Amino acid sequence: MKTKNIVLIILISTLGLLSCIKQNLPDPGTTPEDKTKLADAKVPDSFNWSTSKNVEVSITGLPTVVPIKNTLTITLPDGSKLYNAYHDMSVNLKLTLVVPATVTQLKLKFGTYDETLNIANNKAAFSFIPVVTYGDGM
Amino acid sequence: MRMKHIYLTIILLGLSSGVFAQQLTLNAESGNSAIEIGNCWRFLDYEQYTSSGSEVISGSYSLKTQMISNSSSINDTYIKTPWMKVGSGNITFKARLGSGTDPISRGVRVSYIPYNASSPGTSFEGTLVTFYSYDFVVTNNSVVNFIVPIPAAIANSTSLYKIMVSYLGQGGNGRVLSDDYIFPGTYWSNPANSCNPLPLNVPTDTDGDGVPDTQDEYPNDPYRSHNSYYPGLSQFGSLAFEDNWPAKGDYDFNDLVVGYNFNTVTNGSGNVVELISTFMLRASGAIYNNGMAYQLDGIAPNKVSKVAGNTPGSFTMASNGAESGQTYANIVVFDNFFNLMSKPGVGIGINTERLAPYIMPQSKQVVTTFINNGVNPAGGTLTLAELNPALFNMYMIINRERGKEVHLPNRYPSSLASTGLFGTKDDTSNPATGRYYKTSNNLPWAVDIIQGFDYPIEKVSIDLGHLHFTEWAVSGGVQFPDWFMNLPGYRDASKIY
Repeated sequence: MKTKNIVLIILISTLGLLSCIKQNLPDPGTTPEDKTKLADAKVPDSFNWSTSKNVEVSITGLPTVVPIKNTLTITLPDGSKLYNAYHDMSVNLKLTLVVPATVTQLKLKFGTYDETLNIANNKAAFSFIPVVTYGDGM
Repeated sequence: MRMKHIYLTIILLGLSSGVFAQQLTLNAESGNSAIEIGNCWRFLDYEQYTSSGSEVISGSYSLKTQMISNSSSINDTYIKTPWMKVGSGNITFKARLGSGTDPISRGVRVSYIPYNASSPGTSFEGTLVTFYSYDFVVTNNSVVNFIVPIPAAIANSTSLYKIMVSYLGQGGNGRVLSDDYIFPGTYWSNPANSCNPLPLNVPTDTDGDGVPDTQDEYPNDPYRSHNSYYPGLSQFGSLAFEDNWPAKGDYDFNDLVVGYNFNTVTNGSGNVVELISTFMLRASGAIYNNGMAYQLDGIAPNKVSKVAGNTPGSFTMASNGAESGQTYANIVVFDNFFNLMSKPGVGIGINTERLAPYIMPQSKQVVTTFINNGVNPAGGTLTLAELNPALFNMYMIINRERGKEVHLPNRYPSSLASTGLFGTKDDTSNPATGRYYKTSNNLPWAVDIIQGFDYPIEKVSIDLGHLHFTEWAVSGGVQFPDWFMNLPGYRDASKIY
C-alpha cells in the first residue's frame, strides 16, 4: 500500500512537471499576449489623459434692424444642455465647450433655428447670416 | 456728401411731439444681400449687390436683377419687404435699365401683401394687391426716381403688410438696377422665428428681467433666467486621484473618487449669477485625509461675491469665501473627505474594499455667487462664455497639507501649491515649460472621466480592471476612447469596485 502511494505521488508529480513545462512553451499557433502594464507604459508627451475635449464654438451674429433676443442653446446630440443663455442675435460669440472626446456634432437652437454643427479640429461654427445661392430666389 | 445707411435703418422723427415715424430702407450698402435676407427681405431672380462703377446708382453698391427677358408675372423678379406696419406718404426708390441687348419691354409694379394668420402654408401671406404700375422707355437707361403713394387702405394701419416691387420685361438680356428704397412704416419681422411677424403684444415677463416667461427658467426671479450644465443636466463627471504625489502610487485611482456637476446660472443680460457645483463623494481608499478644491483658471478672486456650502476647514478664506492668497479664484470644497463620510472601521478607507461595509455616497453642493441679488462683484461681471467649463480646474489637496496639490495632467497649480515639490521623486513638473503632474513616462496622478466611472478595488492598478486603459493612453487617446464603458471585453469586473 505504501509503495503504491509513493508511485502515485511520483506519477502525479511528473505529470504536474510536464504540465508546467508545456505551459511555458510558446504556442506556435498564437501570438503571445504582450500587454504593456500601465506602470511601464510610455505615453506621448502631448497626451492630456482626458476623456473630453475642448471645442471652440464661433457664432457670427446678424446685424438686425431691431434687437432680436432669444434663448441660445447648444447641446450635445443627446440633448444635454451645455450652453444656454439669453442672446442678442446681432452679437458675435466665441465660447469653449467641454464635450466627450467621442462627440462629433453639436446642436444649436435659437428661436426656430435648429442646426447641427459639425466639430472639426475641435472647432464648430455657425452664422446667422444665411448662405445665399444667387439665382435660387431667396 | 450723401451718407447712405449700411442697411435697414429706423429713423425717428418728430421726437418733440412724441410721434415716431419710421421707415425701412434698402440701399445695398451692406455689400452682402445675405444680411438683408437674414433680416427677412426677399429677392427673387436677383444677383449679389453690384459694386461695378458703371452699374452703381448711388453709394458703393446697388441692387441688380438677373436677366429679364421673359418676366411677365410680378412673381418672377421682385424685392419683398419684411412684415411691417405701413406708414403714410410715399414709397421712393431709384431704378434704371442696365446694359444689354435690345429689350422689348421693361416695367415696374408695386404691390402690397396683407398678413393672413390662417395661411401658414404661404408664410402667412394673403392675397396680393398691385397698386402701382410703370413702364420704362426701353431706349433710355437714365435713372428714374420713383415716388409711389401708399394706398389709403393700408396707410397707418395696425395690420401687417409686406410691400413687393416687381420688375417685368420681355426680350433682350438686360437687367434692372435699383437703389435707395424707402418704405415708410415700422419693421415687424422676427428673423429668429422664420421671419414670421414679431408679436403684436409684449410677451409676459413676470419678473421684469427682460426674458419672457416662456423662455425664463426662473420666471419669478429677476436675478436669474437660464441654466447651463457641465457635463450635462443631472449628469456627473468623475475625478479619480492618486495621493502619493510626488511619488508614484499603486495606480488604483481610488484614493479620492468624486463625481461633479456644474450648473452655471445666468441672468437676462447673459452674465453669470452663480455657479452651483455639486460633488458626489464616492470613495477614498486612503490613509490620508484628502481634500478637494477647484480653481477658476484666469478668473480673479474679486469676481466672486460669496461662497456657500463648502467646508474649507482650517484653510484660510477671504471675506468673499474664495481662498486667500490666490491669484485666481479658488474654492475649497472640503478639506477632509473623512469629515464628510465616516469610515466604516473595516479596511483603510471608504468604498474601495468589498469586505468593508458600503457607505452611501454623499452629495455636497457649493454655490459660488458672482452677482449677489443684482449687485455686481467688485471685480465686475462674467459672461457665460467667459466662465466656461474648460476653466474649472479641480484638484485634490493631500492630507490637509495645503501646498500638496494634485491636479489633472498639465493643469496649472494654484498659487498656494508648493513649487519646491515639483520635479521631486517621480514628478517631472516643470513650470517653465507648462508641464505639470506627470511622471517621466507621462503618467498622471489624476484622471477625469466626463461621465460615471467604475473605479478599481483597493491596490489594483486601473489597467487591470479597465483592460483598454493602457492602450488608450499609449495611443494618445486614439484607441479605445471609450475605455471606461462597460462593453464586452472592456473590463475585469473582479478588479472593479
